Amino acid sequence: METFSLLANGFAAALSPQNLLFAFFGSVLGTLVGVLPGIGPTSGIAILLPLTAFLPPTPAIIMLAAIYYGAMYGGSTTAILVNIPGEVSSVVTTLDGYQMARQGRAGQALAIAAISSFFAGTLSLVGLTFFAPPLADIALAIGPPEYTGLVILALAVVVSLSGRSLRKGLASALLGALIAMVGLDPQSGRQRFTFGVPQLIGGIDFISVIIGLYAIAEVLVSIEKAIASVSTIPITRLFPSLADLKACMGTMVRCTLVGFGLGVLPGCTPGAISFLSYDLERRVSRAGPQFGTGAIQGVAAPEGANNAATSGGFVPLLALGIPPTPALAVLLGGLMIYGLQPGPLLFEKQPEFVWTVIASMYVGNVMLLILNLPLVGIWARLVMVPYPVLGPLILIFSVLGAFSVRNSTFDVWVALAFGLLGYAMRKLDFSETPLVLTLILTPILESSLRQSLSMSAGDVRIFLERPVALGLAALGVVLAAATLYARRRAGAGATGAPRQEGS
Amino acid sequence: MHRITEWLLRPDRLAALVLLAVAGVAIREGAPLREGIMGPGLAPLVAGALLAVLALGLLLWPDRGPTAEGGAAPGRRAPWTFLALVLYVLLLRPLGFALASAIFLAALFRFLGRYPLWMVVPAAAASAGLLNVVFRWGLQFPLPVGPWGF
Repeated sequence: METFSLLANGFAAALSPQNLLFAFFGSVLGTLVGVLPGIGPTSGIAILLPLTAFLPPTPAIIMLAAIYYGAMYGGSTTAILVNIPGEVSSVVTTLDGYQMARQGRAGQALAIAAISSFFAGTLSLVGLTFFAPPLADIALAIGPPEYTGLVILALAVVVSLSGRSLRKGLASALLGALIAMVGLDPQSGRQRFTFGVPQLIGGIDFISVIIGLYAIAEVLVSIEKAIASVSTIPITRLFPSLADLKACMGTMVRCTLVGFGLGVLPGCTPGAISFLSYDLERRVSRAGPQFGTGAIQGVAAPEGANNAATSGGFVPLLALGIPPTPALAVLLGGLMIYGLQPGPLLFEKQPEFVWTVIASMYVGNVMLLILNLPLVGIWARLVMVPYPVLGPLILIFSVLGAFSVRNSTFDVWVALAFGLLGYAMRKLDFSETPLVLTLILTPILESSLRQSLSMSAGDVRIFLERPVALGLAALGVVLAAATLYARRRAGAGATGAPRQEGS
Repeated sequence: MHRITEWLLRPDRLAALVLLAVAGVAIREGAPLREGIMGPGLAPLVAGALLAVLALGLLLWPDRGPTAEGGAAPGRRAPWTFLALVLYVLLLRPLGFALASAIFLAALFRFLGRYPLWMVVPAAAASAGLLNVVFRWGLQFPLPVGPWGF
């Protein structure tokens, strides 16, 4: 009952003109990010994060969250119309979506993608509403040793976000940990890795790092691919027939369950989940044999699953402070910039904030359905923006974003340096997500570890004597081992898709 | 000598050498800060040592197969675009945001898209002007101003 009243208060705040406006901006920008190949939700959030500095935390996070789930809606447009997935999570949508478009059913494919996204996204939000608070309650009874265990559990995600090469992913994670140590050590006040540069005493700015790694590196890689796609497929009949809707109902329910169920697990990205859902649907649906030839269920399944997974991903983020996807790792950084520490205490200390953001996601889903159904023609035309025009503009936004942190060109140089690093990492097949994850988690791990050891006068047995701490750390080890086993079974590149940007 | 150079020039081995250097810096930085298990030197030492082990493994046994972005060799466009970006940042303070952005956009529109100059110059000027208006006056960003006041 309390949940209903908190959610009602959240709706009251989310429906205020300011929050509605920023949910709308986020939905539009998210759809744009999803539609345009070569820019994903992670880089979209990275570029826009500093530009939200003039906003209070609630509308800023509402907008950034809307960019994330909006991108999942928009990613299908290019996948269906030009066979180019806007996001990793829409790769599998090309299989049946593009076939439907070639058969003159582009309108129905786009419509079922939007309807399935709305259905699964909204149902999963109900799951988020009722699942996250009890999880946070359970996690509330924790002190520094338990927090150490929780961070170890979060770090287990590194294994699944490592891309094709696990040791390169681990190296990336260690690089992130070392970068996080630059500056003054908060406990001893000693300088680490500052090399006599005064600007480094305050540490390396998180925003400059993510702008470099995601936005600048993304542009440098994309301009080499020379993305220039033109849609020539006409869009007619923007609504599926009643028979189509009936045929997809079971699919939408199943993909919601799969998407949300796997989405709450750290390390399961919407990209991987959309593939799993498609595969499951091919096996259980009556239309299974037609999959790959233009089956409407083949569009509904991955699109619904990636949206359900997106909402599911907010459960570990908000309740435990564990970001299951790269984009949510960047969003976690954004929350921390605003002084909000996601995790068990967030629901207790900032209930207005949490429930307003959750309520705004319901509102955002309705906005996205409206934006994606009648306005799909406009989005399709945006596919025609050539990358030689888009790329330089993204670079200018990146420079603006880095500069705006402290009005200093030093941060811009940092962003450029990380842009070069990100480009080299992509070329050499190093996933940059573990770097971002450890950049966020290392200071928390270091301080909770040292606080725990202070409590026990340096005796490491404190972690063995606290069952919750031990349990969380053990769960982290089990999760990492299970992911390793899955990687070995599926061969290189199965669990970690080549790039997780779009997820 | 030639064979050693060839052995070292594999992209993964070059990356491993860079990682080894980073690990060396981390260990050198952490060692003097060691003050028992709770000191500020522990984390750099542990991270540096683990990174050194991973880097050594990568140096001796590099990954096989193609990389995610279709090969490690960079194209011609990325290095030139990055160079343009460096020049842009260098010009931001002396020329101001609007003019530096217009030059940067015009250069890249032309280089990446091969558009004719009569299209590139007005498009770049209009885009830079619009960004200047939105960010300087709309969002009150203290953007660098050149000698001409914009």
